[in-house]
Order: sequence, then C-alpha cells, then structure tokens
Amino acid sequence: MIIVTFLIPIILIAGIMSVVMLLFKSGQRRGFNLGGKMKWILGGYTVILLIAAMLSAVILPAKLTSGKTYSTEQIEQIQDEETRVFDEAMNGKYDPGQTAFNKKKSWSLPFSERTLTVSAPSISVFVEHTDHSKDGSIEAVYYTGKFIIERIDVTDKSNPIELSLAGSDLSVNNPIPTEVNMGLFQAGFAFSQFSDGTGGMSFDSEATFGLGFVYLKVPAGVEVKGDVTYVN
Amino acid sequence: MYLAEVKLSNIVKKQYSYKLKSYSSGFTSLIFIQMIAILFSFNGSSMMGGGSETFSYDVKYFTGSMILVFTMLWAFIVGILITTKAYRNDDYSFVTNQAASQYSNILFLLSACAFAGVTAFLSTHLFQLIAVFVLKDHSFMMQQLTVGEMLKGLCASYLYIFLLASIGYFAGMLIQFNRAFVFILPVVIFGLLILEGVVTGESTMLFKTGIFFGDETSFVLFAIKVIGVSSLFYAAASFLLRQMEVKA
Repeated sequence: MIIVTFLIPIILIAGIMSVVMLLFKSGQRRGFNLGGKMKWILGGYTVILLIAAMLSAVILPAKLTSGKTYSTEQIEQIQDEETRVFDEAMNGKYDPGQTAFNKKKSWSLPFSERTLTVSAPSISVFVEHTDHSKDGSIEAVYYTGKFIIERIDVTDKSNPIELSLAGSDLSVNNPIPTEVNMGLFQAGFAFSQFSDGTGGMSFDSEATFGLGFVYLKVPAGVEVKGDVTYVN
Repeated sequence: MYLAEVKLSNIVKKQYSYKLKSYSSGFTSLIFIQMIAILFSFNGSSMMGGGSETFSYDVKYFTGSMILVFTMLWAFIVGILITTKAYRNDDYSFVTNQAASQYSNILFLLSACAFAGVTAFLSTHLFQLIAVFVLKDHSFMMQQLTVGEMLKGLCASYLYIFLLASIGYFAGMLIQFNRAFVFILPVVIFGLLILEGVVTGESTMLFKTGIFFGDETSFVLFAIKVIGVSSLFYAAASFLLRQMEVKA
C-alpha cells in the first residue's frame, strides 16, 4: 500500500519531467529563441495572465458571496448569546430587543377560535399573550440563529419553516431542505505561511447551525395547547 | 600581457544574455506545466461537508498551491537540464571560464525563477476567474490578503522556486560528475522514503525537510534559510564542476 502511495507521485513527477525535457530539447532543436516565435508565445502568455488578473480583480468581487465573516472568538460569542437568549425564553423570559436571532419570516394569520392547538415536532415555540387590541389574528415570527460555515455567515441561504393554520390547528413544518455548495479560494502555502490572519479571512473547517424558534403572539383569552412555552 | 583584457563581468553578461535567448524554449514547458496545474486545481485541494435534516453543505477548497508546486518542479528540472553537457558546451562559444559559466547559469536561473514566480501568481488569478464561470452552482469566497501579505507571498513563491532550481542544479551537476547518480539519486531518495514508510508505518522524512522552510513564519528568517541552503547547493555544484575539469 505504501509503495502504491508513492507510485502515483513518482509517475506524476516522471511524466512532468519527461514533458519538460521534451519541450526543452525540441525547442533547442527547432532553434526557438527569444527573438522569434518564442517572443510571441511568452509575450502572449504573459498578456493573457495579466488580463486575467485584471479581470479577476474587477469581476471576482461581484461573483463572490457577500456573507459576513467572523473570527473564532466572535463565533463563540454569537453561540453564547444565542444560548443565553434561548435559555431565558425557555424559562419564560424573552427579551424582545435581542439581536442574537434574526427574524427570518413572519406571518399574520386571521384567527377567531378560542383554542389554538400547536403542532411543532422539531422546533421550539414560544407564546406571548397580547392584549385585546390584537384580537382576530395571530402574529407568528420565525427566528433563526446564525448559520456559519468556514466563518462565513450563510444564514440567508437557509429556508424558513412552513407554517399552516387550519381551523384551530397550527402546524409548524420543517423548511424545504437547503443545499449549499461553496468554493473557497485559499491563498497558496507560500502566501498563508506569512499571513497572520488579521488581513482577512482564514478558514478553519468548522460549521455552526444556529438554533431556531417560532414566536407566537396570540390574542388574550385564546388557550394554546401543544408543546409550547409561555413567555413574559 | 594580452591585446584585449577580458573582464569576467562582461563574459558573464554576454553568456547570461545568450542563455536567456537560447534556453527560452524552457519557458514553453513552463506554460504547459502551469496549464496542467490549473486543470488539476479544479479538483480542489480538499473537501468537507455536513449538515442536518434541513440544511446540508459541501465545501471545496481551491488553492494556488498546485500551480506553485508544479512550477517548483519545473524549476527543478530546468536546474538539472542546464547542467547537461550540450548546454555546458554552449558556454565555450564564448571566451569563458568555469566561474563565468557558473555565474551566468545562476543568473539565468534567478531570472527564469522570477518569471516563473510571477506567472504562477498570475495563473492563480486565471484559475479563479475560470472557476467562478465554470462551477456555476458554487458560491465562492476568497481568503483576502493584505498588500504586505501578498508581496511576502510572492517573494516566498520566488524563493521556493529558486530553492528547487538550486537543488536541481546540484543534482544535475552530480549526474554530470558521475552518470551513476542518474540511478543512485532517485533510488536513494525514493528508497529511503519507502523504507521509512515500511519500517515506521509512516513516511515523514520529506515532511520534516519541508517544515524547515514551511514552518518559518518570519519572512526574513525564511529568506535567509532559502538563500543559505541555495548557496550551499551552488557552492557544491561549483566544487563538482571544478573536479570535472580536473578529470577532463
């Protein structure tokens, strides 16, 4: 097995060596020199590469994902803050000014029943009773924590949950599955060797999926049944 | 007493200029090698993936390292090639001596490596440009570098390429000194690697050699290491050339 592991690079190196030697020697035989055809070949190649470099400087920024990037410390802070807000909500205290979770989608559902039955098998639901001025409708908001892959915020790419109200039954269903394909251009080893990471993003092969929850504002007097947590 | 005094610097200059022109066919192979490296780079250097029931992701890492490694390999081969008899005999088209031949070879390698380093850097941009258009289903992100990091990286690429050229030059001279080294060198190098792998279960010799340069985070120290080691190889090659002249 070890010999096979070595065989591939040996064959590759031998192949490259043969090609370079062949081109080097055939060039010599044909009398390629910098004054002739070679000048055009090398000049043309350099010009193509220069144009590519200029185009990449102009085009690439527009083609790159514009997700915000975080340091490891920032990610830890984000996770801690999400956990704090979530745990407090689980204990009945929700901070409406929290910024740890992002409002992904909201619904305003007409509702005139006396009882609401919530079915949410895979997500936490927090319920707040509003005053009578909000009678006649249920306000639902889906909050999500940050989805971070390789320190890049990809929260925007995640789909929201599906919510449907039939009579007095509110069903909270999983989002449509999201598949994210990412390509990360890393600096070559000669560049990353002297990069301390402060000049920009460095990747660290980690992914963080934020928590999510549904926040319901239900008119006062409506009884809510199901696996929910009352807050405030 | 001679009618015309021949200065070493003039001979070196003439030979260097001649070599730049007549060895330029080596650059076609550089273009070819870099094109192959760009093609191989599409495979990505590594991948990772994961997810949950509702969210999955695949990350492919693309790096310019493949292009640099191929360019280093090219420099190594060019280093060997210019020590061959056919190329050494070219030097005698001029009034020359062993020192002039050596200096002009080193100057040629310095220039060739500079060109190779810059084109390797630019090729990475060409690759990135092609990748964003070809791999349309991917969202791309890029590791940003400061101008300082970019300049250091460019210089480091050059030094790495030059280091390999100097190793190639020494290996080439060793082969010219005694043809048996054509077999001895690969057998010893690959043999030791395989032997270490068989005996210890893993082969770390190359890795350990690599980290002498690769683990150096101070650019100045890295440059000193590369220049120092390269100088040793050129000095050894020079010594071998002198011995060959004595033999001849």
